[in-house]
Amino acid sequence: MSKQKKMNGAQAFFKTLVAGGVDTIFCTPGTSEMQVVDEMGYSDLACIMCLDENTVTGMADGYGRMLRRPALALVHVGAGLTNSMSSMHGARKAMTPMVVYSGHVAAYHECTDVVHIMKKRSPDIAAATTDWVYEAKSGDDLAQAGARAVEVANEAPGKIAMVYAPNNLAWADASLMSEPTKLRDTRREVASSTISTIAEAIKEGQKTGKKTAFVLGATAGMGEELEAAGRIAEGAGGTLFQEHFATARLHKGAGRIKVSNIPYESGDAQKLFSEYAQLVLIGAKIPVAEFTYQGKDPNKIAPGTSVMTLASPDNNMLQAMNDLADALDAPKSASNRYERKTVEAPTGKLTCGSMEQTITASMPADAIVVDDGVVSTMMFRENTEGAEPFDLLPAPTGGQIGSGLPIAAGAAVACPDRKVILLSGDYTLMQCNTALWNLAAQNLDVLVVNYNNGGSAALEGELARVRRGEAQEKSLDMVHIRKPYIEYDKMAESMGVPSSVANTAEEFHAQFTDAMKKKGPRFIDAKVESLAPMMVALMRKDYEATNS
Amino acid sequence: MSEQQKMNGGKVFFDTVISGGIDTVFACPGTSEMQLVKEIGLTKGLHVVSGIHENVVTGAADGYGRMKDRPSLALLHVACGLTNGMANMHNARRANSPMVVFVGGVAAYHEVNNPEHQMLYRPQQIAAATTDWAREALTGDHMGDACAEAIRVANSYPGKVSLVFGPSQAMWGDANLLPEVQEGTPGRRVAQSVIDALAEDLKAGKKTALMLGGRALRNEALEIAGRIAAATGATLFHDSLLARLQRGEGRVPVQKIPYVVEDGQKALAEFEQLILVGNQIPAPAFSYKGKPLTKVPDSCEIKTLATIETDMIAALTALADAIGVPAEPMARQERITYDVPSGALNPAVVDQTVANLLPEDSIVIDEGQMETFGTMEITRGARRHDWLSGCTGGAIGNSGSIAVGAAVACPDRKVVLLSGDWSFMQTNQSLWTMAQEKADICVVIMNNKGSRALEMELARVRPGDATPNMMKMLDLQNPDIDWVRMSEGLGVPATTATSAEEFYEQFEAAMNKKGPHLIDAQVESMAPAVIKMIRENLVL
Repeated sequence: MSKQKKMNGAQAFFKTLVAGGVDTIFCTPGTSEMQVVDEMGYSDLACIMCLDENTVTGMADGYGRMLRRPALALVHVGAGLTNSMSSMHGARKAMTPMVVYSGHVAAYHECTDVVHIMKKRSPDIAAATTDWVYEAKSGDDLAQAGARAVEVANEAPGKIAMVYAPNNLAWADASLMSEPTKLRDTRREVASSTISTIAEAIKEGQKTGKKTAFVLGATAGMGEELEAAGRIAEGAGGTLFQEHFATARLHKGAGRIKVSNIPYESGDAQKLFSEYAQLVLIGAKIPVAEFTYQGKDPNKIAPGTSVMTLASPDNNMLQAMNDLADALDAPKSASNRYERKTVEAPTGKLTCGSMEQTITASMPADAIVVDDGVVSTMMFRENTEGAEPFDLLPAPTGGQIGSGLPIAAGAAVACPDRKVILLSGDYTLMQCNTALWNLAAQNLDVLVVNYNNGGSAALEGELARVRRGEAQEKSLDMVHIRKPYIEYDKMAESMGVPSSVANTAEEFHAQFTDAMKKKGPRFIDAKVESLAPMMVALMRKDYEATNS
Repeated sequence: MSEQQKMNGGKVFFDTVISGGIDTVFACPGTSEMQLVKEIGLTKGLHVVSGIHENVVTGAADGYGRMKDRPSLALLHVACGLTNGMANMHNARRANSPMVVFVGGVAAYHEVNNPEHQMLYRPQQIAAATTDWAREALTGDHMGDACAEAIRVANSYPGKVSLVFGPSQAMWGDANLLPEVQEGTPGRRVAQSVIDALAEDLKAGKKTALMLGGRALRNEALEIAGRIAAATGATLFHDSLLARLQRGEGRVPVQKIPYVVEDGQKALAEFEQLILVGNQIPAPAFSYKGKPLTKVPDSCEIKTLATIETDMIAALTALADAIGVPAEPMARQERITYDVPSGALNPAVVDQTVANLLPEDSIVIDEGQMETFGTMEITRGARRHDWLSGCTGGAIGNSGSIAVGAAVACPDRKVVLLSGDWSFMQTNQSLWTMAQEKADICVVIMNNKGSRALEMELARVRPGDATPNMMKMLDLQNPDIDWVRMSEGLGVPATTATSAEEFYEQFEAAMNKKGPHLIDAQVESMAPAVIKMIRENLVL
C-alpha cells in the first residue's frame, strides 16, 4: 500500500477488516473503543449495538454459522470480555469464524492499576475461548493484526481470532494499511492410505455382518458434506449419526439425507452403538456424555467398538468423504432421504409434541431453526423429519445456556430473506434476553417460541438423579421460575417485540401459522405442558438402578 | 462426626459453610451442582436466593458482603457460568467485598474426553483473574478443607473473594472430616515510625489532603479522620467510585474527587501532600490521548498511612494520638432540604427529591453514570445513609444485583438504586430476584435513552456532532425500552415519571411502602451541557 494520509490505529484496523471482507459488526462499546466507534460511524457497514456481550458474540456466532465468514465482535475491557466468553466458547465449539476486538485502557496506564484491570490481562483470559489471540503493539501493528485475524478466522472450518488493542494504539499514528487479506485454502488433505484402510475395514465388516456407524462432526451435517456422507452410508450399508449439541448446523427436513441423533444419555447411546462393530469419525470427537454421574460411564460408545478417524474438522473433509464413498462404490447421489409429511393441525393440550406437529405443518421451506429448548426440544429432530427443508442450529454447542436468542438474531442478520425460528426454554431465554431488543431494533425476521414450563425441567430431572424421594421445596425453587412467574409477553413487548400467549394447541397453531405469513420479529409465550414429571420419573428410576 | 451417616463432599461442604457462619446463598446452579442443590434443600438455616444470570449472583453477593462485612456463598455452574459471573466478581474484588464462590464442573476424569463445557483453560485458572484465592477440590474431604480455607480467606480484612472449584467426583466423593474454620487474617498494623513521620508532616502545617478508601469510609473511622482534620486543617476526600461510605446528616463530610481527570487535578491543585488512607492513588478510569495518568498534580507529594489491608481504625487512632486531636471532628453534616421541585424532570430534581425524602439509615446505590455526577453534592445533607457505588471495577450493570444483596443483608433498611438505563439492561434479570425476595428496593431508572456517558466520551475523541451510525451504537431508542412493562413482566410494580411533580410523588410513595418498585424517570439529560463544555475545551 502506498503512503496514505495520516490515519490512527483504529482507522487502519477498521479499513483492513473491511478490505478483508468483514461487513458486519456486533458491538458493546465503551469509553476505550470510541476511536473505533468514530471510524465505524463514517462507514456504511452494518454496526449492530448489543446490550450485553454474550449477545455480541452470540450474534457473531449465528452470523458466522450461516455465512461461513467472520463478523467482527467488539467488546470493552476485561469485564466486557468475560461477559462475552460463554457465547464465544459456544462459537468455538461450533467452529464458527469470528474476529474479536477487545479494547482496554492504554498500555502505559496499567501501572496505575485502574479499576478495570483484572489480575490477568485480557489476552491471557481470552486464551480460554479463542483459537488465536494477539496483542497489538503499535498503530501499524493493530492493522497488521486485523489482517492476520481475518486470515485466521477464515481458516477451515472456522476459528475465533482475537485482537487485543490497548487504547493508545487506537489513537496512535498508523501510516500503513495492511494489504487486503488473500484467503488461502488451509484444509489439509487426508492421506489416501487412511481412506483405503477405512474402506477395507468397512467392506470386511459388510462381508462378516458387522455394521459401521458414522459420526458427523460440527460442520459435516450440511451441504455437500452431508450429501457425501449420504453416499458413504449407502455404500457401506451403515448409519449416519450426529451429536445432539456438538453440531454447528444441520440440514434437515424433506429431501435431506437421513441422519440419526446420538442420545443425550450415555447409557442409551451405548445401547444404540452396541449394534455397531466399528465407528468412523468424520470431523467429530468420540461421543461422550455432557455431564458425569456417580457410577455412570460417560462414554457413549460401548467398550470394544473399534474407532477410526476419517477426517478432522480442519481436513478437507469433503474430498475425503467423496473419496471414501467412491472406494465403497457408492452411487453418485444417495437415496436415503426424508420425505415431506403432511400433518393435521393439532388440537387440545399444548405439548411439545403438538408444537412439533404445528411446526412440521406450517414452517416454510428454507427456514432457520435455532434450538435452545433443552429438554422441551429433545425429540424435535425426530418429530419434524417431515417438515419442509430447514437449517437447524443447536445453540448450546459449548454446553452454555441462553446463546440461542443471539444466535437466532445473528442468523437473521446474515440471511435477511429467510425466516428464523428460535425454540427456547424459558430459563435459558433469560440469559441473553436483551437480544430481544436487537430483534426489534434491526427489525429481524425472527419468531421466538418460548417453551414456558416455569423453569428448568432439565434441572428438575437432574435433581432427581442425585437423591431418593421427593425434592425439598427449597431445592426446587432453585431450578424453577415460579416465584414469581415471569410474564414473558410483557418482557418481549417492553423491548419492542410483538407478543402473544398460547395456552392450547389450537392457539399455538394459529399464532405460529400467522407468524409464518408475516415478516419481522414476533414472540409466542407457549405455556407448554412440562416434561419435568416424566424426566423426574425417568431419572428416579435411573437413580434406583444405579444405587440399589 | 463419628455418629453421623456417611458423608459426601457436597454434604461436608455445606456443613462447613454453616459452621463457618455463612447463612446466605446466591445461586445459579446447573446439572453438575445438583449434589449441592440437594444439600441446600436439606440444610436448615440457609437463606437461598436464586438469580437467573450469574452476574446477578456475584453482584448480589457483592452487595451483601459490603453491608455485612462477612461472606455469602455464590454458587455457579461450570466454566461458562464462571465467566458469566466474572464481571461482577471483579467489581466485588475491587470493592473488597467478602465472598465465597463455588464453581462446579464435570468429574475430573471426564476432562480427557473434552466434553462441551470444557474451555481451553480450567476454571480455577480463569478465575484467578477476578479472585484473591482459588483452589480446586479433588476429593470429598478436600471439599470441606477447601471450603474452610475459602471462608477464612474471604473473612480476611477487609474482605476477599475466594473460590472453590469442585468437580462432580469431589461432590459425591466420600468425606469423613468436618474441618474447623479458622479466623480470617486481621488488618495489618502500621509501624510507629510511619505514624510519627506523618504526624510531623501534618503538624508542620503542610496543606494536606487525606485520601480515604475502604473501611476508612465507615462512620467510626470517619469520626477519627474528622478529628485529625479538626487538628490539622486537612481536607478529607474519597474517590469517585467507592465500596461503602457512611454519610448524610450528622456524619463527618467527605469530598468527592471528580470522575474526570482534569477536574480531579483541579480539585487537588492546592495541596502540598496527599496521604493515602486505604485508597489507591486516584486515577482516571480510562486513558485519553495526552492526558495525565493520575488525578494528583506533580506538585503534590504522595504518602501512605494505610493500604487497603491495614486496620483502618488502628491506623487512624495511632495517627490521631500522635498528633493530639480534639474530641469533635472538624464538622458534621447538617440536614439540607430543598423546595419541592416542579416543572421539567432533570437529574437535579431527582437529587433534590432524594435529598428530601430518603429515610434514615437507607442504602443508596449509585450507577447513574453521567446523570448522577452531581447527586452526592445535592444529597450530602440527606438523612444519614450508606452510599454504595456501582461498577467499582468499571464493569457496568451490577447495581441492580448489588441492591438485591444489600436488601437481603439489611431487610429493615430501604434500598434506593439510581441506575442508568443502558447500564441497567446488562443485568436486568436482577428485577426478578427483587420480586422473588420482595426486597425493599426502589429502583430509579435515570432514563436518558442510551449511554449519554459514551456520547460524552465520543465527544472527547472527535470534533463536531456524531453521525447517525455512531449514535446507533450509543442510543437505546428505536425502539425505546418500555421500562414499566419490563419491570412488571419480571414481577416488580413500576411507574413512569415525566415531570418533577410526578417523580416526587412516586418516589415519596415508594419510600412509604415496603417491597420493590421501579420508577422510570424520563430525565432531561445533562449530556448536551456537558458535551458543549467538552467541545469548548477540546484539544485533539
